[in-house]
Amino acid sequence: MEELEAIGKEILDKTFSFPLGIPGFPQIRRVIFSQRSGERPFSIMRTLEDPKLAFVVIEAFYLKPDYFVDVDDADLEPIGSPGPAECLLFFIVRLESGKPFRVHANLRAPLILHKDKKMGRQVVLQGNHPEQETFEF
Amino acid sequence: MLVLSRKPGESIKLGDNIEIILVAVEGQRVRIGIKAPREVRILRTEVEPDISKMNQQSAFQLEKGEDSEILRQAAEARARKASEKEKPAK
Repeated sequence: MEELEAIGKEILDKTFSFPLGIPGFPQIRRVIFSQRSGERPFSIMRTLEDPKLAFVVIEAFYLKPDYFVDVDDADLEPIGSPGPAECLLFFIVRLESGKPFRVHANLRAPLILHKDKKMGRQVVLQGNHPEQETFEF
Repeated sequence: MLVLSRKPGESIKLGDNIEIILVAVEGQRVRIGIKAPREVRILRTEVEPDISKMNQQSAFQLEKGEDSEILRQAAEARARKASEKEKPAK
């Protein structure tokens, strides 16, 4: 089970370029994903521009199995126009320890990664995705 | 900044293929219709700063050693909840 929830090897320890930066962190251009076995399915996205700056991320379907996005082609163009099979969706989450343990995810602005070209961006979706959803464990 | 007055039903064109239509005025709210090509991104202005703010709240500073403790806690809490739900046979 734990093995199944490992971050993919096309992602793990790989550097992804974010040509548009990350909203709130316009200077960021490159990130690297890391994950230790006890952390699955969560992983850390570090930024190369600021080695101390990091985000906790999780692949979208571990929190929302039915999550899907409708993204304009124009939004995907800056990351090499990935097709559906080349896209990976992640949420940036904020962890709040306690009982219950809370995971706050931004469902309106997922990260979309082109797993072959190693590019990514955060998209802001139109429509009804809640800005923040809290999951309790 | 250019400021124009429009009545409901009137519109404004931006360039060749974007049209802003003033649909209705209801007290403090103005309803606006937008005709634009699909590739034009249209966002309520307040949304983008919200995303920046949420990212900034989610960001954390990596310190050596202790950084992944909270990820382990999260993973354990999630696994515990999953096993409660599934009630595995053994």
